[in-house]
Amino acid sequence: MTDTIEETGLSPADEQAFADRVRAFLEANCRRTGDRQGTIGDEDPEGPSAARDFQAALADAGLAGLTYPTDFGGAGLTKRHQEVFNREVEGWHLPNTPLSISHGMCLPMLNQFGTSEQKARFMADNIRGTTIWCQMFSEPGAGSDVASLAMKATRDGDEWILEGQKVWTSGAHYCDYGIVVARTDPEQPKHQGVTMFIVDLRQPGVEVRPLRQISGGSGFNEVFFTEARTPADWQLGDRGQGWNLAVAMLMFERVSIGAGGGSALNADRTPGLIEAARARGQAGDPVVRQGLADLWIRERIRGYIGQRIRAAVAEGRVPGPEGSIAKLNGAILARRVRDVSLAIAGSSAQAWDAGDDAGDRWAVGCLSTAGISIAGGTDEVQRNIIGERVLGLPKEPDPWKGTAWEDVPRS
Amino acid sequence: MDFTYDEAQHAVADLAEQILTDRLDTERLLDLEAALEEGGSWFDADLWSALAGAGLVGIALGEDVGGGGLDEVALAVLLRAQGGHVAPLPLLPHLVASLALDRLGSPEQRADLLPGCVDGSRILTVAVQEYLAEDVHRPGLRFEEGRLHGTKIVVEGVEQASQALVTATGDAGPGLFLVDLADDGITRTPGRSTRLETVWQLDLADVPSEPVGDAGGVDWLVNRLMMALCATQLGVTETALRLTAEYTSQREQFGRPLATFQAVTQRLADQFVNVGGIRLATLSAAWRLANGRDAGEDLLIAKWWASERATEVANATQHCHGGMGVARDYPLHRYTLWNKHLATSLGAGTSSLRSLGALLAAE
Ligand SMILES: Cc1cc2nc3c(=O)[nH]c(=O)nc-3n(C[C@H](O)[C@H](O)[C@H](O)COP(=O)(O)OP(=O)(O)OC[C@H]3O[C@@H](n4cnc5c(N)ncnc54)[C@H](O)[C@@H]3O)c2cc1C
Repeated sequence: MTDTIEETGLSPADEQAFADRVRAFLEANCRRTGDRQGTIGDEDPEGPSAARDFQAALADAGLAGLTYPTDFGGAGLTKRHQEVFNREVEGWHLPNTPLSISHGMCLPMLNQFGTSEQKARFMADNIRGTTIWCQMFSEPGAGSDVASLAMKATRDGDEWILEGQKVWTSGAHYCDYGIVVARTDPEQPKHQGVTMFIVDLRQPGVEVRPLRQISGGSGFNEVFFTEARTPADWQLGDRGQGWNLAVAMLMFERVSIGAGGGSALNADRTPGLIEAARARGQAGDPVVRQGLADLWIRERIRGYIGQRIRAAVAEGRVPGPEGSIAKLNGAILARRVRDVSLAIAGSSAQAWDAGDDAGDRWAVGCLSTAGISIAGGTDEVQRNIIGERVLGLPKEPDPWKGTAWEDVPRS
Repeated sequence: MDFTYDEAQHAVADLAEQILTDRLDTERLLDLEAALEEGGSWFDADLWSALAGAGLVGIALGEDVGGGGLDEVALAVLLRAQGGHVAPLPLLPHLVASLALDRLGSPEQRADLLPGCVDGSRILTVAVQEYLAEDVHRPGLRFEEGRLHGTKIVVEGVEQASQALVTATGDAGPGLFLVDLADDGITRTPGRSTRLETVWQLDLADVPSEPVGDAGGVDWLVNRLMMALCATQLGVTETALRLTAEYTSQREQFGRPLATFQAVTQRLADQFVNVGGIRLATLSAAWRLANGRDAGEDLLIAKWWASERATEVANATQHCHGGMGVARDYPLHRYTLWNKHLATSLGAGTSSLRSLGALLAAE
């Protein structure tokens, strides 16, 4: 708990003044949330250009990139400001879902691991939404086992040449830059031969093909690299350190999926569902009531987990395996929300008018839930991490441990 | 009964399987879906003709009207095959509506409508569900002096059907009523189902209608609809599980097939048990309906399994596919969408659970 001035660096009066500023901005620029379940990978109805406009307004109001240094386009404020901001935005719809990966994962990576030149060059535009960034890890052959990735990076003078394919890349169709992991040293074991790069997606060697999602939208893509190039000084971290950086980025991702305060994905659903149950005359139904009570308990627990982790992130620490706990918990919660919603929604979960917003919300929300258990590492992958790194259980034996990546047979 | 098909049921299953396999591959489904996006309808007309031509569409109708003379179990067999191939056809409402007409209708109604129902030239549908009404046994739609007034939702096959069997309540209580879908008093509003077909809201204002059968028709119909939904879902979950077993046996991560991870194997084994439950409960209910026994309890059990457990099967099969499970480019998504549509038809699983509780607690 943080309430003393020594701990927070903020007097109650300052805190109130900041909260008022945030609220004034929200009232001028946002609307109240409906109960649409935001999710990763799905197209935001307002789209990236609305997100860019919104983000620019946020930056103009001095409310973007709150805890990042002013030198790099941030607001230079404290983690307490971030907490206040998160608290104030609850119940508001911020049309910035298309920026969630850019800000939740790419920005902290730049801040944490970028060189001063990289920070100076990229951070301010990223914070303002002038550029949008995506995460490019998964490949057709490397999903849960992402460390086995095959995309090749070869050095050519002052540049790297990238060859290969990424898949499920959320947002690549509107993004300007990607953070990509590629294999620079195939003679090393799989975890040691990869390096992370910033890559400009707006070049001829990069082809983005949208993939349709089950919910109907096209939120993710296949991306083909054919002799794509990136400058040598756009490498993030050291050569061969790509896996460690990827793990850090995945933890930022898990935190932003499982504990990112203020995002549509993390808004509490129970109050809206209670209203829906009342409107449908089901608030007295014992099955529905039990479901709602269970949800409420889980949302409170998520709140506590989130608070702890966000505090750590705001202090500039890379979250550890607690990111996996948050992510797993968030995915389980999303499924509960879906099930309780279905029980309440009845036939409007089954069909909806083209113009029926409520019906559309239920349906999209329900169909998108599955992706939450998959993106950012599946539930099983999180459980394995928790087992090995939190509980200290022995690792699954790997017959190829220590073998050069290029010598491991793969289908 | 031992839940295996008898000779006639086997013949139905084999024939349906053969026609569906021959005529409905992924390419054909993609073509139909593309046409749907261009404003076409969710209906494979060639497939419909083929099934009708083989005598399957009228398989449970009386031999006097040209039907195959079989019963509810044959309907279950046929719908299971449809679900297994996710065939875009309003087979379920047609089969149940024409069966109702055959078993409950007057000689004139039968002679008039059923021959077309057998040869496939006439398609019927049912209009049962209403807004915010969990109890389909007590329709809010009114029948007064030969006319219907009120609203039905999620009606399927409206573009193909000429008549609908509508549930309504009149002075004599709930009953079944036949309406001509071309009637001027019917306003149709299209909606979209998760299965991607267009489903309709029908607003009936003073629509002339004739009753089909006596009181008790609604329960009769709802029982068959429940069984038919479960049978379709049985086919859907069976194929989803088969696709997943194949996929996880082939796809490798960490240098080995996914199916060798026990988290995957055990989850899929649970789904096998879930599907088995749907199969047994559904076939038992169908058999009881066909043999004039009380099927109430079996139906509620089947519907609950088919809503809750099939949802579990859908979630598990989707999840074990990783990213592929949420992509439209891979066939599994159709099964996920069908499951979702069917699981919420006639109310979600919890409503069956409630009714079952009431049934068991009753003296
Ligand atoms: C909506 C969405 C958005 C995404 N966005 C991005 C993005 O922006 N950038 C990006 O790089 N990637 C993205 N992804 C990809 C995501 O990270 C991968 O889908 C995920 O890591 C799983 O990989 P896979 O799809 O290859 O499934 P697989 O790894 O093939 O897994 C299939 C199934 O096997 C199980 N499994 C695998 N290994 C084990 C094991 N050891 N033990 C037990 N079970 C196991 C999995 O849990 C899963 O159920 C996105 C995915 C989704 C669904």
